[in-house]
Amino acid sequence: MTSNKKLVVENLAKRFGKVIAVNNISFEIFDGEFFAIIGPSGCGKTTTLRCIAGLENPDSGSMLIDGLNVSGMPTYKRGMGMVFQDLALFPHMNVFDNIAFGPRMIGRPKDEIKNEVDEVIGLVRLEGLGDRRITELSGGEKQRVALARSLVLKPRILLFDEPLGEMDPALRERMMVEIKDLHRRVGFTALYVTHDQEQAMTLADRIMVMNKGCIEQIGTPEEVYLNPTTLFVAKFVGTINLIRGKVISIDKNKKNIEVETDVGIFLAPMQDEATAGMSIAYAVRPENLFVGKEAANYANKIYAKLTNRTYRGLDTEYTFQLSNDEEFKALIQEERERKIEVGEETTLGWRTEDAAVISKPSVIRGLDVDRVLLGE
Amino acid sequence: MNKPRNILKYLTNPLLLLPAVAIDIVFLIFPFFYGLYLSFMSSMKSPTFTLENYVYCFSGYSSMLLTTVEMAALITIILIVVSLPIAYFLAIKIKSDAIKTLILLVILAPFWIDWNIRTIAWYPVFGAGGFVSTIHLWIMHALGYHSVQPISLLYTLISIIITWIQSYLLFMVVPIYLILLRMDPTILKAASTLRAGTFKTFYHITLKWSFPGIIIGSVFVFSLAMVDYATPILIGGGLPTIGVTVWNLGRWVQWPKAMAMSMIILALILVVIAVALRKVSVTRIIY
Amino acid sequence: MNKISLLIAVYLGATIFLVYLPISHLILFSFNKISSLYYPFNGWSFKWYEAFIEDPAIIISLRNSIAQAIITTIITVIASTAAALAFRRRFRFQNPLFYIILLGMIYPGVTLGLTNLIVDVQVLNLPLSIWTISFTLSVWCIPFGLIILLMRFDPKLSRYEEAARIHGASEWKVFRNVTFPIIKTELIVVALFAFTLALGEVFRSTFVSPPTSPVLPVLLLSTLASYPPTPKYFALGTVIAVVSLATILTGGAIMSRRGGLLVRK
Repeated sequence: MTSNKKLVVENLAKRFGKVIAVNNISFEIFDGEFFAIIGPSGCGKTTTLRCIAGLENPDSGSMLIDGLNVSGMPTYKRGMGMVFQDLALFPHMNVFDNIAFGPRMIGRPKDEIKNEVDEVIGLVRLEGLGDRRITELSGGEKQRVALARSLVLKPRILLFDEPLGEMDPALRERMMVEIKDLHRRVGFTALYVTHDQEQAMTLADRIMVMNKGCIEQIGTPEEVYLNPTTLFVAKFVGTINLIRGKVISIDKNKKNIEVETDVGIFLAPMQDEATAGMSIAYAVRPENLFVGKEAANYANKIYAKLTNRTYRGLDTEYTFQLSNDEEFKALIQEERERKIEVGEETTLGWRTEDAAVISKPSVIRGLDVDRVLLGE
Repeated sequence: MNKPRNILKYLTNPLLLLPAVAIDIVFLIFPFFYGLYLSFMSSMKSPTFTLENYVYCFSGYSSMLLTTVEMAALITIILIVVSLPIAYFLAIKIKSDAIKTLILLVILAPFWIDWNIRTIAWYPVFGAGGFVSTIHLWIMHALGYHSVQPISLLYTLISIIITWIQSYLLFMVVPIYLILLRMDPTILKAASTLRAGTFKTFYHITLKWSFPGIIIGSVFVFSLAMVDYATPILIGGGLPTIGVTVWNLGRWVQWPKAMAMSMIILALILVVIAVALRKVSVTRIIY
Repeated sequence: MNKISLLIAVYLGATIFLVYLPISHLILFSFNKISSLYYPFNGWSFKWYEAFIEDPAIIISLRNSIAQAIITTIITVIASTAAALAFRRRFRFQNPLFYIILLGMIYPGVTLGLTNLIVDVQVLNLPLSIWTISFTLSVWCIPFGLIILLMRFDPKLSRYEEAARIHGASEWKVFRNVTFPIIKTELIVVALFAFTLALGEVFRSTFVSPPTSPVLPVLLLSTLASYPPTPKYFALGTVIAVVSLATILTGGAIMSRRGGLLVRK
């Protein structure tokens, strides 16, 4: 894959007073890619975005867009678009003027502005709403105006700063579909910042997970979900069951690792970094757990008591309590639901290949497995 | 590698502040220092360093200084008492924004009438044959006293204080009102469910909450009342207050002495402000 | 409304009564047939209105006042708007500078006027004029403007500016196309406020006013300090009162259209 590199960030760093917001990070985005940055609040993703946008001045590092160094360049010359969390549509203008703002500012000829704006209005399906004042629009319509405002400028990169944060779930779903659709049709390069990994998983071609100003992992949604390189990423992306354990032995023939925990001894696929005696976290995703009589067939089993059951339409989430009082969650599709009552004890089972052993707590030095497990 | 950042961005803020700060420096701070220098000079013509101006002020005018401070303190306290119910009522009891605005404007409207005009407007109220006098006569006649002289409140302390109430009401009501606006009235309801009676609620919650507003208002009223010279002249019959004294000294071109007196006043006001600032963080309120 | 509210409403009524007592007398006696400010009221006449209109000193000083108030308003609006825009961000010396500007509000009027007079006369050899008054009064008006603006600025203003910048607007274009249209109304409010403040100001103006052609409040103070007032001044006062009140009610109407008085909701 030799796509053009749209954005190259090298050693970007920014601190606010004593707080290091962005800690010397480097990454690349390719032309036409939908790139998401996710992480908990305070991890530096928004600051990174704002540095690229030109709304903050990085302390050091370089940013190249289309090969052009934008580090010293004022915001308005960088040729980008941005959709803000609170949308920031100009309240004193109507829809048309909001969208036409960019072209007018950069000096497009008047007649062409009308064509370009109308074209984009058609693209986001806002036909006929050109005259409306911003206050008269619905949430979804406002969102589309925000998109249109940026798209009309054919930006080098379209930046998103948690745009779907303040929406109800139904609207959020619809907007995600629209954004994805727009991206497919128009082919812009997107840099999407959010704390909601679900949005990132749905929309992005590649995801970058940040934590305390550092990059934990960059990869496709599959890579980040199925092969998290650190405990932090495993916890952050999707739900996962984790148990602290120690590597007892490594079986080179069967390519297995044997792990001892408080609640039993389990197997996991072999990993290069794992050595005997190492303190690790044993991980298995809820959807890979089998409950009840079925569980007996599997190599890894534990006893657990059902403490809660949440019906979610497509699936049911079971919450179990293990003998060491820790929690395990299982996700069961409807058809395979076993009728187990809350308070009952049962067996949970899973395949060895569905488990993983994660040795690295985080990219951040000084954090050990326990602290990350606790959620730092 | 880091190119020099947006220079213009760095310049904008200082540039924006320039007009306001420059005006302050040229027309407030520099004249202040010149005045300070003058206060230590013996005369305009042949300036030699001296403390005689301050001696003059303290020896001759210390009782007047005290009286003025007392008057200012009195009006401050009166205004606190007068303003609190008004601010409370407007901020909390009235829900409609429009009515809030209307009543505020109605109460504060006289503030925008020329100072002198609204001061002399008290003549027909206070003077002999005026409103108060006429009512007093009616009452006296009704009580059976028929040969009573018409009273005049003009040129008394009372008239100054009442005129001041009208003049400075805005400076006390607005800060308290603004602070109380930020209080969520449901706190009071919550307090009542916790068995706090009306007065206890008022004392513990409302009063404490309005405290910053009271402090700010007091600083304003006290400082303004101390140096007010128009009111004492017009209504007080030239009652000597600090403000009047400085005005007189200024008129008679006794500038070194006027400056010494001014510096003393300023020092007093600065002390009041310093004390107030310890209790209130103005900047946090405004921005 | 419960008992306490009723009590306070009555109290409010009493306060309003107290505040408007002198003003109602002002208006009443401005129409008095005879030259008396006291009861009994003698009958209706417009002669005092004619009297002050025909008084050249008053008319000239009124013109001076208006001219000075306009200049002060312009200075105040420019300086306080610029400062308010600056204070939205954090920067070094933010607090000290804020206090310096605020100082003008609380600095004794006597001292401000007198020191400026001395500087003009002794140091600069500058003749007193409308300009000396305007700049001196600006020191006092600017903090008012600053506070009003800071309290009424839309907190999302910075966000709109950022959006503008990203979409191609240079600093000046941001101001002209986004910032200014949004804060326009607040500027009008500040202007009205400053105008009325400057028009009626006497404490500072007294000293920096040119002695031969003073502004109206200064003229009034010196006249009324020496001679007892006649209904002529009440007539003048009534006219001024009506104009001032009209201005403030307009300003109040504008302010409340964009949220509560003084505070943006």
